[in-house]
Amino acid sequence: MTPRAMRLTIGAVVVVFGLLVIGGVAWVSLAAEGPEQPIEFMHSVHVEQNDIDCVFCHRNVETGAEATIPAVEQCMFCHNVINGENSRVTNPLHIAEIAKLQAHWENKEPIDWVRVHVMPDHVRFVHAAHIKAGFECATCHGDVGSMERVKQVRSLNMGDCVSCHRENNAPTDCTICHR
Amino acid sequence: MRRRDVLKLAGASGLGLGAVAFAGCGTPDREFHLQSPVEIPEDMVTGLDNWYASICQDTGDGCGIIVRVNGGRARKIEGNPDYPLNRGKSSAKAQAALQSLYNPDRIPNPMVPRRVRGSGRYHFMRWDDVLPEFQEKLVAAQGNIVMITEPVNGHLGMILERFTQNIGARWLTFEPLEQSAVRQASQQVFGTSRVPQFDIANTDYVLSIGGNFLEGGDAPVHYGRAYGEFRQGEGRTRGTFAHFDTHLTMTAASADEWHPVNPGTEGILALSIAHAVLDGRAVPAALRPLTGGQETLDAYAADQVAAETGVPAEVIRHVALDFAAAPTAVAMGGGSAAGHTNGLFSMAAIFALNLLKGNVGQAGGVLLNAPSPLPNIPAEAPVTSFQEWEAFLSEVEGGQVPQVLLIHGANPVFGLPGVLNASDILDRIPYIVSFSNVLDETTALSDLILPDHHYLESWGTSIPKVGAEYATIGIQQPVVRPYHQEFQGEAGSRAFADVLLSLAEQIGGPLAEALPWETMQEAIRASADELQARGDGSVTSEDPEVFWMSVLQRGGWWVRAEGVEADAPDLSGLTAAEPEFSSDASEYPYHLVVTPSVLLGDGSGSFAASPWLQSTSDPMTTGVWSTWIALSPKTMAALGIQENDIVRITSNSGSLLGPAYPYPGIGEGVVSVPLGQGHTELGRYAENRGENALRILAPVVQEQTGALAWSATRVRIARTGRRTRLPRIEGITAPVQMPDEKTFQITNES
Repeated sequence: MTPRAMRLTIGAVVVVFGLLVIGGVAWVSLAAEGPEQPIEFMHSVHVEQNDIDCVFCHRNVETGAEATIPAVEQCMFCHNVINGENSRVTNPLHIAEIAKLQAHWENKEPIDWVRVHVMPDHVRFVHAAHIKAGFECATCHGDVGSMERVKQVRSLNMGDCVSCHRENNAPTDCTICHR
Repeated sequence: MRRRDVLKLAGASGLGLGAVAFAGCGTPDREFHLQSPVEIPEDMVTGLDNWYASICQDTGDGCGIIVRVNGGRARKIEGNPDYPLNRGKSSAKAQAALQSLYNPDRIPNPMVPRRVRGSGRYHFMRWDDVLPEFQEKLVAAQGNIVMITEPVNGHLGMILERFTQNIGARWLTFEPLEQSAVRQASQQVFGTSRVPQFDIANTDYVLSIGGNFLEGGDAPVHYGRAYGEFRQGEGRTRGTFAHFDTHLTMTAASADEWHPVNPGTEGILALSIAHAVLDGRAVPAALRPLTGGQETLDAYAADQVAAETGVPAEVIRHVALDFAAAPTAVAMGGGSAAGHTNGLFSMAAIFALNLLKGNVGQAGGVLLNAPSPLPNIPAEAPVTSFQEWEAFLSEVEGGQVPQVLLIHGANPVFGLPGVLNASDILDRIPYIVSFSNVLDETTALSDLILPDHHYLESWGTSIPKVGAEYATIGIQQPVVRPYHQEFQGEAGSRAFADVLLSLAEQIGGPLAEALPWETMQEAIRASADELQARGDGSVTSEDPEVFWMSVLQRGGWWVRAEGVEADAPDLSGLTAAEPEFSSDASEYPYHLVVTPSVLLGDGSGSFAASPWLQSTSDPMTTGVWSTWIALSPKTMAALGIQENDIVRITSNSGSLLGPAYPYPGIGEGVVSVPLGQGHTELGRYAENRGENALRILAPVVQEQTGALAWSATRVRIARTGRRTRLPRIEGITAPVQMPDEKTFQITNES
């Protein structure tokens, strides 16, 4: 190897290593908060302060595979009244975000949320089965009720699923999830 | 922060290496989107399936389908178990409609070509920007407009008829492998141009000459199901099936006996069978025109015609005996036999066997189709004959150029014989508007493309071509929202019928009076109210709203048909005729038989743009993704051609190249080429793949019907010296055998 080639190789290794370090640091530091959403929806305001049950909005969680996120119309059932024109809503941040929601409703535009929890296509996870078995939403999702921006708290990878299934004497056949 | 964002950071930091290396792994970006719908959809819960009933509109037979929709996307298509035509069965083509719905090459917005027509590059437009100019040109050209569509019945057929009549447009429909001979023979023999239902489900003996009814024809899914009943239905003995054709099609391979017949002699074969059936009795008076007025068919005795037809005399005699002896029997015809210059005579002779058997209107015989349940909705689709097409093109070439050409669902540039030069001639028309949502060969000529919705996104109706038991109207409803919809800067597609209806309203006058509906949905709803008022049929309700919902849920409405009486046969003008061919046997020694593919059809739809259909094996040769030239092994030996040699077949109207495929099920003088490929447009999966045999057909016309005699082309075969490998499943590797291993046979013996 010529000295020039050697220098280039070392240089490339340093650059790649440096990038990995930067990337890793960025990942760890930014993972502390969840992804930015089109509307700064605060679970803490709804759950912690106003004591709304998860199922009030995620209404399919007890009956189906997916918990489902509410339609804009469903948000508007309350936010028709709870908005900037209501004297009891005073926080300017809240007023601004509710206005965004109203705009989506008026323009008939769906909201494109950023998914926080994603299962790969080859996994079939059924919310209803877990809720019926008596688990709290928080077991997997953490204390979403106190989060301003939702983030993932458990790895929810296969190892995580299998160990929890073992602890709770749930079946661990491959076909339970992969079917 | 997700891994994806780390990679973005890595990319942004100047060295994209990491991003490039890992971008292909992990969860795709789109999985990270989750949409809150605006309104709470009553019938949509994420993660739950919904099935909606509709009609399959692109396969030509109009099967009833049910579509599984999950999360607002169509996921699976199956046959509608309620629908009288197909009772739960479907076809590969019907199931593959998902791939035309979500095809990446679908046209998402109205488009105009950049700079010049045919440049192949387009500007996206908004509907509001293009429609006023379109309307202006249409109004200015009133009386000098041509509309080209596929043959279409139901509500769209009614709307097209009224639209073209009232705006002064000439309406041409295009059917590549024209079936006029079958329809006219049916008219003369059975008294109806709607080819009747051959009741094979309840018959004991099927005699089929040329008709490959299991893979093509009017209703392959219907006949496929009926064939299952015929062979292994409960409480009946297995029926017997004899088939004659120029080569071994899938239908022929299903028969108890198949015999090759020389191309163009099918009618003579039928008369010979009739001779043996009559067994010395006089020919019934109604059938005498076939014999030229003779009282006997002695000229067609089995021994006399064996050489000409290529069918041994004993075969003719025993098939005739079986046909005559069976308690019930039915004779069917079609396929390449109908595509000869004497196709009309051949079809009439074959159909007339049913008159000899006396089975018209009987179970297990020939049943006349039920009429349209709605008097103002046509059950029949008008077809423009090849002769009229030729006349139209020569008019345009001669200077009588229409000002505006409208195209929907038809692809004449691809489907007409190449010598007609349709592409160059149509190019003289100053303003061409296409409503296609795929860029096919004809659409590529247009000045404006106004993409239609897919049929799974729009309204329509269909009256099955075949069906004696029930007078049926199938309703096609949107099962999903348009994939390309007018939203956030996307112009989207619009339903063809709705565009016509809104134009009619804008233009006003008699046109608006003839088409009083704002949308297709409204037109269908008006008809549904008529049906509701009848108070009978598959759905009844006092409440029109409940009726409408129930009809949509069932996929249509049908009522038991009264026995339709046949008119007396009128065979005048159908004297036996010898087939004529495009050219001399000395120069062009082989018959070209073009075969519609069970997967890709005749190539006129967008089936070739579906990877599922492209990669499904042809049932007989197992070939995929290509065009092959099937030859008899004897012909190949005589010409010194090996398997996979690229050969050129040349007619007097063109030539094409393809790998030779040795096919024992074909006569020595016959070359068979499957249709469906050879597209120069139609998107990434179809373009520049294989050859289009329709292009090299000679423009020979059937005199009595004006149809293209698409089996009358003769060709010669030449080696090119090059070789390729036909992609197929069978014959690639030797079958596994283990001669040294012991074989264990599992038996009941202890």
